[in-house]
Amino acid sequence: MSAPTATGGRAGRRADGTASRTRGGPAPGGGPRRRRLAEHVAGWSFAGPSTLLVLGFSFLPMAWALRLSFTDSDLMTGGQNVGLANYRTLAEDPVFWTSLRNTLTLVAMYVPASLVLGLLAAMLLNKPLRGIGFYRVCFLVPFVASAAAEGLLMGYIFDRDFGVVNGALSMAGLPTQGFLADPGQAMYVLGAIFIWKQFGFNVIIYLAALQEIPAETMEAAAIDGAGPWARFRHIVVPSVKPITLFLAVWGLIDSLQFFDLIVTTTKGGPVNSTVTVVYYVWQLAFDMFTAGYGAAVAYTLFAASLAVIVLALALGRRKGSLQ
Amino acid sequence: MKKIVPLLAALLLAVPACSSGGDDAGTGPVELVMWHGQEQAAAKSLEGLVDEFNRTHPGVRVKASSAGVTADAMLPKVTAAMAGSAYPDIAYMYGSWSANIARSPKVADLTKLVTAPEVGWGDFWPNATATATVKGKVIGFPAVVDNLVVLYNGKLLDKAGAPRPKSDWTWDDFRATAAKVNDPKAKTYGTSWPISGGEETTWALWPLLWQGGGTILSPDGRKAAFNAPAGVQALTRVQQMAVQDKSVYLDSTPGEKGQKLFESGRLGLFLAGPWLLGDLKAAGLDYGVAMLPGTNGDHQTVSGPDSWVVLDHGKRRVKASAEFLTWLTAPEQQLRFMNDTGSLPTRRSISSLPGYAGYARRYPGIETITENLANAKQIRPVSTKYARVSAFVAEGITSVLLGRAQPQQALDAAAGKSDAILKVPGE
Repeated sequence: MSAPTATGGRAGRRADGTASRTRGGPAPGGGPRRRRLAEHVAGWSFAGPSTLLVLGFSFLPMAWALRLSFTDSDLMTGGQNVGLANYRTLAEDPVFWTSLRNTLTLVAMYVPASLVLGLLAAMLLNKPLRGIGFYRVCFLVPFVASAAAEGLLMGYIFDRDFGVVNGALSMAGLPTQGFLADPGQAMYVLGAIFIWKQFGFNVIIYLAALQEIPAETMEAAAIDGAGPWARFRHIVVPSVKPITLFLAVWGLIDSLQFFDLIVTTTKGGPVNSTVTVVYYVWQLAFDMFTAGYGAAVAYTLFAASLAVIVLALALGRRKGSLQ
Repeated sequence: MKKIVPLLAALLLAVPACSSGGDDAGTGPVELVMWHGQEQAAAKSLEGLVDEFNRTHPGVRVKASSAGVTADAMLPKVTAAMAGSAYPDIAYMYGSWSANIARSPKVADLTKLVTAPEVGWGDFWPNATATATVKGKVIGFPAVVDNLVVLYNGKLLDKAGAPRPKSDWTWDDFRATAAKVNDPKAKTYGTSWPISGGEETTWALWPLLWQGGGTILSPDGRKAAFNAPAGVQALTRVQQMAVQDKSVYLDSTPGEKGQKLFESGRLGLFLAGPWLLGDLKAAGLDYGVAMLPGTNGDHQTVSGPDSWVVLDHGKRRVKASAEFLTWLTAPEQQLRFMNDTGSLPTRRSISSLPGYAGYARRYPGIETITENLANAKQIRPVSTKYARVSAFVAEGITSVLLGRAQPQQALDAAAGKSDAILKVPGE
């Protein structure tokens, strides 16, 4: 059974349901109509507040930012309409391309690593060990702790001259590294910090998924002679596939929005080597007084990430990961 | 259930009504919000002064906080707040931002208010009032004046056998001293330079450029001029120290690590200013102060007068803000702030106060910095485009100091990008 049919089926059922309610709706007399009105009112009074919040805090700013992207506003004044000029500038802006390359580097590092490490760690944490709760918390702490604090901490740990990492390297007789002060390394170091910080989330989600796998299935496979690798390959991986797709998309969104660690470590430097698209948007809007152009960059990122995520979901559906 | 709907509707209508309240109406004390962006000694001192103002002025209540940011991050904070209409009445703003902030209609016009005799507008240093005035409109009160000097660790210099800076020292002397003090094995550095890429990276280069006879932009402000020989020579000097001598600690923060190094006695020479003196005193460091090294006897420096910018929340609050700032920037209060922080006098008459001698004794070297005000002969371009030009130059400086580019090539690249922006009409 392939997924599109399943979705189609759900849609069909929903259509049927609506149709049947409509058919049953208009009855003689004012009573039922009033009841339906009351139902509407009750429904909207539940959904209303959160709908307003979503509209007010997400869609309104989005619409405003879209308008902004066609102006030369500096947020101090309204600015003038410049049509598509901001989008044209973007194509020739070397810093934008650098920021895109940096962001993609992060995606390429974070998404696969967080999935593999997340699943491995979750499998280890799924064992009945003494004090397992403690170990589980340990993996979650970096995810929960504030990115600002972690950024400051990591800034000191990876300091070129005084950091403990270089201290350990030189004690081991290895050459010390520039880390965050080296344009060739800074983005990779930030990527590693980001993986450390964020993959605890994947661990928790995977752990929940692993606990859903019935013990009987694993036992039956073991009795049938499936070794640990075969059980992992043919039972664990397929069982957590929908979760993997979800985490991949989530990780993609997360790494495309990478921002806070940069603010507290490198501020985009050295030589723009750690400017990501979102950081560049912030710089343009709040440091350089070019909010209109910043909004254009933000919208380009939005369109690109929407395309990538739709593609990823479509691929996942075709492979039958989403049931 | 039916009653909920009108209730919700009423609530929704009430929300905007609440947020726009408290403008001109009302009779109680005027509440003002002040974002000062100060830390440690300066924050404590300011908040003490604010408390005293609140005690002695029942008509006005000032709520002061750093706004959770340091001064260098105040602009994005205020810009965002202005876009969301949740901005303060008074904010501490760097002088280099004046041209941009003044464009906002939400910035108050104090031009008339500062003519009141109790303000003593003419008593402030002219470059401080000039910074707070954009195209004839006064947008704030002078908050702090400063200039770039060299702070040095005398003990470290003596130990390395380097002479202490004299008033006629040159950039060659600076380089030689830094090289002597530098000892990577002992984690001790000659000097430091921020490479985080902001204005902190750029502004210390300008005095070198000016001393060599260069300018940042062409006279009409439409073209970059920093890539002329004077600029290349300036950057080459720093490059020689960073790349050849390796005597420069390349600070990936906007100067915070450099300050910690200096405080812990691991930095010989530190390009900084009076804003550090309060912290250095707290750290118990025995420091010395020298004017910037000179080129052919020219010891020009760069200064950055900062302002208390007033934002418009209606006439009543603007008037109260001016009343508060008049009190805060009056000589007596300024002297107290100076005593706590080591900052410089913002106006002439402070030096004739009886407490001034004590202040000068308390901060060794403060006379040098005050005298150095006379060396602040040029200012950075007052242009809304300066922030981006500065970012391009910072990128060039950083790539040179990291040994990835040559000065001429890096500055030419920065000039090319700057020209593209400067040529667009607008101030």
